[in-house]
Amino acid sequence: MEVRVESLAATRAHREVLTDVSFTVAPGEIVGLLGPNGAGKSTLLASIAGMLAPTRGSVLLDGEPAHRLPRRDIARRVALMEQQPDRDIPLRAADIVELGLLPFRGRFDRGGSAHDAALAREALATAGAAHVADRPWTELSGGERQRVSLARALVQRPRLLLLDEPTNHLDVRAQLDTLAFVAGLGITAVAALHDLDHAARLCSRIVLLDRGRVAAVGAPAEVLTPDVIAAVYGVRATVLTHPEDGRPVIALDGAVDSTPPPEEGS
Amino acid sequence: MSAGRDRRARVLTAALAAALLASVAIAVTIGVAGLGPLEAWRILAAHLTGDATAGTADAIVWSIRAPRVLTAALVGAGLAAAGVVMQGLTRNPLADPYLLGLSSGASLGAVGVLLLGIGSALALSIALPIAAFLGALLALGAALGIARLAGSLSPTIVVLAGIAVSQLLAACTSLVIVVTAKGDAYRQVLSWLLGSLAGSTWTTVAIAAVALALVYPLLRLHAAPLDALTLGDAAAEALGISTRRTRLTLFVAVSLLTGAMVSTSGAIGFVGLIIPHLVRGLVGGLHRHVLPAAALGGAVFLLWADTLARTMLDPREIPVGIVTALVGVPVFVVVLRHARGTAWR
Repeated sequence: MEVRVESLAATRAHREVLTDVSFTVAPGEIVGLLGPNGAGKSTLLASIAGMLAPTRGSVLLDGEPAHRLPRRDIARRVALMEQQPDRDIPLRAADIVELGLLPFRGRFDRGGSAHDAALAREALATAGAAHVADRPWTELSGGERQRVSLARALVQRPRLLLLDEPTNHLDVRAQLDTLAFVAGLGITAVAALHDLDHAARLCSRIVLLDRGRVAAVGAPAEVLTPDVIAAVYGVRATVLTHPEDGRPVIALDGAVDSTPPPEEGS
Repeated sequence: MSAGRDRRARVLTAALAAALLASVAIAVTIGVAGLGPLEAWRILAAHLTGDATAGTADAIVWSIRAPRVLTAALVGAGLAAAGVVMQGLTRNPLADPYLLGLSSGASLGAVGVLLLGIGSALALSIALPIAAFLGALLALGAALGIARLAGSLSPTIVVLAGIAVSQLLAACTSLVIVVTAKGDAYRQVLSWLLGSLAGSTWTTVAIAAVALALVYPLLRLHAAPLDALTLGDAAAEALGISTRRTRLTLFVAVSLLTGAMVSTSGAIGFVGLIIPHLVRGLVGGLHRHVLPAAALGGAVFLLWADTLARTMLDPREIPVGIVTALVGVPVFVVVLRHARGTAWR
């Protein structure tokens, strides 16, 4: 699916959170949304998902304005993996995945058919979580919950996958697994991320947000430079090039306004 | 496994349905009048086959016990279903019509209509549930409005706001009764605020049955959206659910159900809280499993609670809300202890 964000402005709680945001996502591409807390990443994802009407500008999904599409129509094409809620969900893993079939169900379909259960199981297996199908959500680890949420998104057979900080609360191995899994799906995706290295690893392009505006757009190596990182995050960084695949590797050295560490020998 | 769980839910629902039928049959034979079970059943059978006999025993069984037992069952079903839906909508395990003030609001609405002194029995039996519905809606709006003013719809804030609204409206109800009542005001206050099925007639059966027949299918139709809401609003929206419209529809539906039930029996607590928790512990959290089982469980529970209320301190009656609290709270404590990690905490 092609996503075009054109001069988008969006307001939440009477405050303009996004101003004049423009970028496009080509079909099959994975684009990362970066920026400090409060930069507007989640709001941008909600706008792309059509949940938030723009105050100016537009979000076009394959040419159609997202917020004008009926919710069910969007749900048949776009899946959102939201940040993990910290409250308990009183359902089992397989139940949660089956909810991904909701957009495709008739009004009077009660759900719970053997066919639905099989689809849910298949998605869980694809996400590498077949073994937790019958366990309650409350008993799952952070990584398992992430896989269940991914399976729920997959069962929607989305043409666009929106991910809100998919590596949050995961251990290092689970983070890499999640990124590799998303990269291997071949689905157009937009992912809000905190970790700059993760973005460089996963995304073909990066949209860097700063207080609701686009600070930089481009390939990871173009966007993730010491100057840009210092300007947006207020952090001094050393950017190295990975010897094998050439992606940028970011070493964070300290806050811009703090004293630099003493150089060796001085 | 999920097929096994479907079967478990079906078995529980069927067992509760059977228990309900048996409970109705047994409860109509219990009472202070000391009629034998066979005699009670004979009177019922006579009425159902259309050749009723006159007499005191006949009046006790057909005009007093039968409507009372049926009203209790219907009210219990309605309150438990309302509790399930309130808990799902607010993602708050403590949300129930009583705790959030809907029942007090409904009581106030009903008492207000009684003040008008509507003469016609038919007009009153229509006006009463409608006024109670409006009272419940008002209370719900106030509780959610206060919570929003406090800046959060978090479970804790909503419950605190609900308790405040509940206390206020209960106080208003008491005040109205004490100021206007002739005679036995305190008994009326108790029966509206703690619940009593002593006033049950075939009219209250009809009111409760119509409300349940109208609202329950709508709730049942929303089982899957209610499941989706447990994931959070953003996730539910992403699954194609309009969370605003779903909430609005179901809040109004639950207010209607609560209003109708309270207009027949006053504000009865704990049914909407305990029964859903017990049922979730047995069949899991899917609303298509929880709703029917909770409705049947609530019916059985309130039927027996009321049977206790009318016989325990023979010849006096106690408000049924006292029984639901006495039985309900210890059960609730046990449920809370065992709920850890399996459902909502």
